Amino acid sequence: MKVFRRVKQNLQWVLINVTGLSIAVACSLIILLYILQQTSYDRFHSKADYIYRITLESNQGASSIHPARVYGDLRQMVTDYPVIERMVRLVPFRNAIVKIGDQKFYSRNAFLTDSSFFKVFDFKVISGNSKKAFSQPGQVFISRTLAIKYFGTLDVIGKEISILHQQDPNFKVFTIDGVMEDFPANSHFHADLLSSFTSEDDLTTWSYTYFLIKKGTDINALRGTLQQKMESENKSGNPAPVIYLQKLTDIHLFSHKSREIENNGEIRSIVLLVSGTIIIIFIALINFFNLSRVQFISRLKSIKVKLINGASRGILAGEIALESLLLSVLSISVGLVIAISLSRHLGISIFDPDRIVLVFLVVLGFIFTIALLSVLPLFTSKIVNDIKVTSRQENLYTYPLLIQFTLAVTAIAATIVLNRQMDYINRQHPASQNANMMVIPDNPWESIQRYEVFKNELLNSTLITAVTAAMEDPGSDILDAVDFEMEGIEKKEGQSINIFTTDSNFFSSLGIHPLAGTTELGFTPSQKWESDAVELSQLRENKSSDKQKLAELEKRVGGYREKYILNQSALKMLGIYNPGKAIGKRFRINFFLPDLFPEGEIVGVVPDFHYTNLHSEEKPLAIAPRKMFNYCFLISIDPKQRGKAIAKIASAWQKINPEFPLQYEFITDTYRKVYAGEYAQTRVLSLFALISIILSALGIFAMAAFSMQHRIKEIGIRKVNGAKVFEILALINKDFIKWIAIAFVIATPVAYFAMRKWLQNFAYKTELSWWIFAVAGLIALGIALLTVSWQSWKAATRNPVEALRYE
Amino acid sequence: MISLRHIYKYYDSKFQRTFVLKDIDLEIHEGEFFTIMGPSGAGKSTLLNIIGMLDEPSEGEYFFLDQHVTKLSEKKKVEFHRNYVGFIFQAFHLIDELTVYENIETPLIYKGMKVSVRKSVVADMLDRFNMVAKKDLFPAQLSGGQQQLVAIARAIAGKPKLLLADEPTGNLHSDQGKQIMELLKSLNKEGITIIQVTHNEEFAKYGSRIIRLADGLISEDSGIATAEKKTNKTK
Repeated sequence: MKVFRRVKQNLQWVLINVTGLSIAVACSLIILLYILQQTSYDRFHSKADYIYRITLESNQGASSIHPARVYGDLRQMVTDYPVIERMVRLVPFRNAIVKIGDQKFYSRNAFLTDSSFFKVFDFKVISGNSKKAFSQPGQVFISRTLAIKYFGTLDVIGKEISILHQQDPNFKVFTIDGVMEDFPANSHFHADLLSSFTSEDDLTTWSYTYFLIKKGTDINALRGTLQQKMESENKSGNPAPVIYLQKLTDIHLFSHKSREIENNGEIRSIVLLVSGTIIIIFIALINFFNLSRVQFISRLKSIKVKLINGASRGILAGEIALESLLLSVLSISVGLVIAISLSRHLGISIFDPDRIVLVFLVVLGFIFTIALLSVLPLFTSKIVNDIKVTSRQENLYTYPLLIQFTLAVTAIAATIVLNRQMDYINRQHPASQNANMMVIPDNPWESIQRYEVFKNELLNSTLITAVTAAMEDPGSDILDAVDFEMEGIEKKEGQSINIFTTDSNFFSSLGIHPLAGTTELGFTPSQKWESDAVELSQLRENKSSDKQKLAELEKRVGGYREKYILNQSALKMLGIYNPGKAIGKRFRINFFLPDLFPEGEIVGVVPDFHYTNLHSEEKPLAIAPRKMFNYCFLISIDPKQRGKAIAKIASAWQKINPEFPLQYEFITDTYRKVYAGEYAQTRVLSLFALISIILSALGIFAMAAFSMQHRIKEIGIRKVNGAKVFEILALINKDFIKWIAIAFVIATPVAYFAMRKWLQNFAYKTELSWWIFAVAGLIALGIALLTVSWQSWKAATRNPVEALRYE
Repeated sequence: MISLRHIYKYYDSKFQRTFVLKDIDLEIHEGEFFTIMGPSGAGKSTLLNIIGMLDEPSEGEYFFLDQHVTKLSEKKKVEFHRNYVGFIFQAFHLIDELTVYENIETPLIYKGMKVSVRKSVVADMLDRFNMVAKKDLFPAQLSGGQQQLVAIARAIAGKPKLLLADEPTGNLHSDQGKQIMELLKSLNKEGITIIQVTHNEEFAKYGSRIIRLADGLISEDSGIATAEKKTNKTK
């Protein structure tokens, strides 16, 4: 009863505390659970500790590549080393088209795999025999979701399903042999569709390859042995690739190789989230501590009277702790409501039986901390036992306020840097701000062959301003590196260059201007020429005796000299500093189909145009106008008639590629998707910064209000003695400004080093200018001043007589 | 009941020792109504604090009910304090956020009294001071005299042997003051030993014995004076 009355009397303090504490509870719960979820990836496999993924890093230096998957046949390795108990390969169908009945859709989650799949991984099977899975050709297991979505039932065994690999011209038919439970969210890959292979060749291409290693094997020793063997067998003349064995459970948080099976999480974002949460918890607790101190001072009289009336400190501590319990319970309830509503969005369940104990512990720890903080002033401050009970002016705890503002300034500075970096990155990409460039990504093989037809069809319409194509989607990686020859260049051992093919109008369409030479290529060969060139190379390799055919093809293919464009990184690699000097030099890349990339000249040099992502440095690129590898189509549409243009594209697609569904997006979104993780971090941190500044403002508001209460008399006396309102404002605000200035001085280096560390993860980074920190400081100062002035203005403009009569 | 021997109280500052009480020797017997008078700063309140076990003397010995208070543990002191001593003040010192009822109840809670017993004791007090109708009011809603009545009710609710009153009438006008003094007198008659500090000569006379303090020294003790008179008479 008495407790409720106190709550009612101190409503504004209670509200401030409940706001801060409930946010702290919600944040800590959500983040804790999120971290648990992130660190639990792939641990549900009973053999998780013995499963390793093998990867190879090749081409040291600028064109180094380290994909998450490996190429070639590793079966010999498994036979040679008995500690490798089993091997599972996952060969992606890439952007496969799945046909069920007459429904067609793209799937990035279809894989060919080995019969050992269910013996290594513990994914649940709903129906079908997992022991015999993938032992016969033409078998497929599908996920529950897929079964329900396209068949409407789980009873699908024996039904047929067709899959078109991105690089195949024809659909393959499979029989459904089993249904798998949907893979858990905390698996680093989520297969919708797993099929057996027809011939070993199907599995000796690029595949994600996992080894099940015998218990107790020294993994480093095994790696060393494999590496040695690889080096001894290396006859390519180039250095042997470096073998890595990556623990299955490390993949989600620690793996950022190219061509990961899915986007992985990041340990950095976890560190960021934890720091943010700690900041919020600290600020909320400091608010609470300050307010409980303030309340303690204002109830000092009653505490003293109670002591005189026979209470001991222990009893009083009990009373105060009991009151804090009410506050804790209130904050926890509100916090839980927030956490539950947030957790729905994040796909985390708070009341998971595995986690409920932890949630309970957090709540308990919280109640305990709150109780401790609330009784702390009772034991730290001197209460003189005195009959003359006075509530004398106590110094406020300014240090907690200092910490609070240090944290707030840090959070604001970090947010500014993050936002600037994301903005900076985004602007580096060509056409990243172009809302009218449509991307048709990752096309099937057949539709690439019909690119020219499609392009001509589109250009018939005035709605479409340009059509171009490139080997990769915007923001992805360029991986294929090849040997090359260049006039006047002494090549270093193992030096290679990355190849990037584009349509001839790629640069002009994306607004990239050459540093030297030209990007206007004039005549470039057609797709017919390309297929002839491929055929010619194949005939030559097979030593074909069809002289007439050879001669005919040579006649058609020959005579074209390739027009190569290099980027600046390539020049840097070659040691050429004046771009003009590269123009006109003889150049060729040594592709395995030599006729497809004939010798030619360098016609242009372009800057590092950042079509790929900016996590890694720009690769040295040799760019050639070729169409058969251009998986990504880029279409500029008339901004005034977007709807019509999209409809036109859809109808053209339907006409030319009737067997494939059309999928498209706009280039701004494509880039954004690449940095989804960073954008999420930025959003979360911005939110945290906002919360921390709001909580800090609430804290300083309370402190200012309290300070005013206790200085009413002082202010009254000063005014009676002739002080002006402004002077009083200055007097009061000065104290607070001093502390914020100190906070700023402390926060600046902290934020600077933290952000420098974060920026190190980007090959291209924004500058950490001094003004970022100044702005952060000014924001904190501005908010603090506003809050304080609100209070001090009230106090300063008050009629002094009123204040003095009060005593 | 109370015996003070060579009590000193001083504060040490950098260069100087400031004495508040100097060599106080005092015997106070059970049932006395004892008045301490003297100008501001003479050490009256300090003496009262020491007697009430809220403060400790710098030197000297203090016996309360034959217990050597200076050697008592903190816990024991609280125990003594709870059971034997009640306080009233010039500024009443009621707890603002508690009702009349709850204010009177406060010391009983700390004494560890059961709820039912507490209820009857508080009801008794309210009845005795004619405050039943006001039991749910807050101190701010009462007049000064009424507040002091509540304070007295609170002080004696725990049935102390000793009531310490620090200028109990200082904030009241003379009629109210008189009323309070009458009340104290009747309490004294019921057997409670009372020690009051006052400036008011008239109210001082309610006491059976008056001492005057000046600069920390006892300058006059009516008890000794009467004793001397007595010895003079017998001479």
